[in-house]
Amino acid sequence: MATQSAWEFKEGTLPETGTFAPAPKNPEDLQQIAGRPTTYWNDAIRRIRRNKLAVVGFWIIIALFAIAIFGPMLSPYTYAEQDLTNTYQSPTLRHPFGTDQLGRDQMTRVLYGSRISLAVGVVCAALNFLIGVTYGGIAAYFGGRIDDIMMRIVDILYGIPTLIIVILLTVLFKDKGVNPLVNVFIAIGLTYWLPMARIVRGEILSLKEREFALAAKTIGAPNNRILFKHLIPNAMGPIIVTVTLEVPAAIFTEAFLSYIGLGVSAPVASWGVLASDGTEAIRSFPYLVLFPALAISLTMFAFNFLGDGLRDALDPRLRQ
Amino acid sequence: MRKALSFVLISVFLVVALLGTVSCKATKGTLQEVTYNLGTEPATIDPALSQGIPEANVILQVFDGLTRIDKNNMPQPAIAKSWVISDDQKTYTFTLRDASWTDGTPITAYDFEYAWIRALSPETASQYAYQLYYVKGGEAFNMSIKSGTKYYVQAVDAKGNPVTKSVGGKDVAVPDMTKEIDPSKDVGVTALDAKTLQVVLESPTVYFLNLTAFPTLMPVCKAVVSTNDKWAADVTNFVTDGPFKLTEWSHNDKMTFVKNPTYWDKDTVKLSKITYLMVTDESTALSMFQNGQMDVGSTVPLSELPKLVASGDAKIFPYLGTYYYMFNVTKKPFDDVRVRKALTLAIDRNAIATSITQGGQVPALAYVPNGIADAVAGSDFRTVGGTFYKDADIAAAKALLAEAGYPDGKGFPAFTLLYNTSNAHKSIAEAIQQMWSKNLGISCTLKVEEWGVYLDDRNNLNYQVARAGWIGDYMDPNTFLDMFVTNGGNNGTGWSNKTYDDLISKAKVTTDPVARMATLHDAEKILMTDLPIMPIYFYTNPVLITKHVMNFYQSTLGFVDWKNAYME
Repeated sequence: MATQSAWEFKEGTLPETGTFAPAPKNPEDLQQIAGRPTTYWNDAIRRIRRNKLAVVGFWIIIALFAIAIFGPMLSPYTYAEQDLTNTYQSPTLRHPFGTDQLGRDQMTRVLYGSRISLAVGVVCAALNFLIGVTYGGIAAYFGGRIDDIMMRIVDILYGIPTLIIVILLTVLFKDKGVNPLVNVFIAIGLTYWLPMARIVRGEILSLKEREFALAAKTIGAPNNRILFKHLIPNAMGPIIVTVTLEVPAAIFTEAFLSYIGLGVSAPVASWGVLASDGTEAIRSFPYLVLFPALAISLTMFAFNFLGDGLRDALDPRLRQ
Repeated sequence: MRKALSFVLISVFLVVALLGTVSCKATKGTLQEVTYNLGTEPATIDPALSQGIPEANVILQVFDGLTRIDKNNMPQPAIAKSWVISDDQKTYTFTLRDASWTDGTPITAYDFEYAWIRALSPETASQYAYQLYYVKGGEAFNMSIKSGTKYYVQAVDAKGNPVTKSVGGKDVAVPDMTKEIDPSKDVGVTALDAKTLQVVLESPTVYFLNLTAFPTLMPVCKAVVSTNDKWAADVTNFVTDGPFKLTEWSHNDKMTFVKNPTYWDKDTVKLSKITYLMVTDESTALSMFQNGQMDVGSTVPLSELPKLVASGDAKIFPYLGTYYYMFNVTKKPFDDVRVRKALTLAIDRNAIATSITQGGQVPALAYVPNGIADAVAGSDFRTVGGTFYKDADIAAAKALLAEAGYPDGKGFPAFTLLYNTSNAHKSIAEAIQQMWSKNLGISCTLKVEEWGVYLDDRNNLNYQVARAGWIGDYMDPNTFLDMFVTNGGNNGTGWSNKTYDDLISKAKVTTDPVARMATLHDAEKILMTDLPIMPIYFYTNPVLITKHVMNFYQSTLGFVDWKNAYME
């Protein structure tokens, strides 16, 4: 009969001495073992700090947002300013990223494009997170008929190609005179939560049968507390991975929508639009696709690193 | 073991690849075989149903009409060895030569009669049937209504409006049972005997002999087509009479043609085999061209064009077409001719042609492009007609805009510029947006739509300013000008001008070439004074082509003819 810790036994209930009797409880030792009292979030932040890649990712994201906000202000050019006598210039000091087919400064366009792409990526990922997690969580937690109905709706939506839904929604909102960027937010946000809902449901279904959930239920915790305080934090790993992957997916979808005329209209350009325009000229002018592609990759990596770190930090099972 | 296997596989692959390139190099230049990228799957290979350039580029290799266009764009005798034109220039009597179909049966005048009636009959629904409207009774027959086995004119009510009835939610035309159309009597094409074809025209048409070389007017083998309506679905029953024979059609992949041994002029044909590829992506096509997988390609990526022209891998062919923007003249402020003119004058066409399109396009300072013969031999319609405005005449544009009530663009309503999905259209639209904003102080937003949606919006006048382009169907100014008559199917601007309509009708019935061209010049002048459209540049047609291909011919209408080509 081996046991790891001393304080599981109440005083006076210690078993009779034998070869494997527990060591007697020493209050001083107890004080040495105990760390500073921490909250869930304090603990998460402490753990994420130890993950170097996650920290790098975090600072890259901060830098990207800073560039998106202040970058275009510092450039001597505007994103729409053309110079037809200076088309397809290779990168120089005047134009560090070169110029495009209309002689516009590619660096300014990439800087300006980051506003749109980051906004689309982050807003859409946040919407997916909110809708998908809540929907999947509720379906799984209440189970039974509610689960059946909610998941059948998801199945039906899954059956329709996402792009068709996105296009239909965009066309619908377009005639209402909504800003095209808001269209993209709504359209992507409302459709890309389906995988998230499924993943969350699957996780919660298994978690809700676990002892800690049952324990919370037996002491009378309300449903929303069990769901949001106990179950979802435990499912955070897969959720975070899905969210970080949805950021680049949303950036690419926006590029496609803009290409077929449902996203931002020219001459405004997001990274996706710049990259898809650049691929046309990839043989002769590879730098036109290189810089927007680099920007997209950097964003993807940063979000993935941070996501990875967050997953480890937020997972209660990995708490030390 | 695994390593050894993969090593063996890799070596085999390398050897095969090496042998492949070596054998390619050794044989190239001696075989009379050519590979061409058509760029897309043709929608049909039935001449009556042909609707675009890809289809025409298949049909012209496998069919021979009454005439064939030579490298100077002039019609030459083909299946017709000679013809007589009546004094009133309305009756053409063609004498056919001894030629045969690929199944060995002789080509007769009955085949032509059958083919033309078939193309015109309403149930064929040929999109290019209007190319036969010049034939007497052709339009009436094409517009008629079939009831049972007979054709009738559509009934009209007392006011002269056509009568329709609703069947299953659709409006269906009602036939007038007292007015029957009998195609064998009422349409002006008659086979007098097996070798003589008589064609009576609605009115004298100077370019009729050009039209007889057009895909829609090709003959079809009556014995085969009348008994098998799936004759053009695959190569087995596809009986043709042209310089080449289609032997393989694997959809969305390739077509193979071989020299036709029964062709009447087979001694002129040097190529023994033509392969058509259907590579849509311009970059992929360019890679294949550079790897020697194709000899001629119909598409060239815009950004690579100057480089390819300089290296001699691409050639720029003339193209009878105009790229223009159209104004919806039914909407403010574009109902004001001064506004339209200001917008027309305020753009720098030269900069667009030299910096953006870069394919040797000519800035359009008029509507009808260069390359159409005028009345006097050797003269060009465009040179005779001259130009109608100056390029980038910004001072005049500003003055006009101020006169229209918008000095320096103040108070000019925001509008939308519509174009269809394409990177070239987008670049041009962005450049023009900037020019208008810089030169006139007016702003517009760009809107892109897929081709189908774009056409729909354009036909319903659901736009303000839109991009458009027109490629001529035959070598005459009329193909550009007659579309802008009131409610013309391709007018698209809502513009209507009585004098213009009258001039176009007058030109259709005028026989004297000098008077006819003068009338068309007058019509163009009205169009360019009223400016419902804003010409931007005259098209050119860049083609990827290796130095081994000789006598390659691509007409200014975009039609490729391999009859005289050979490899060196």
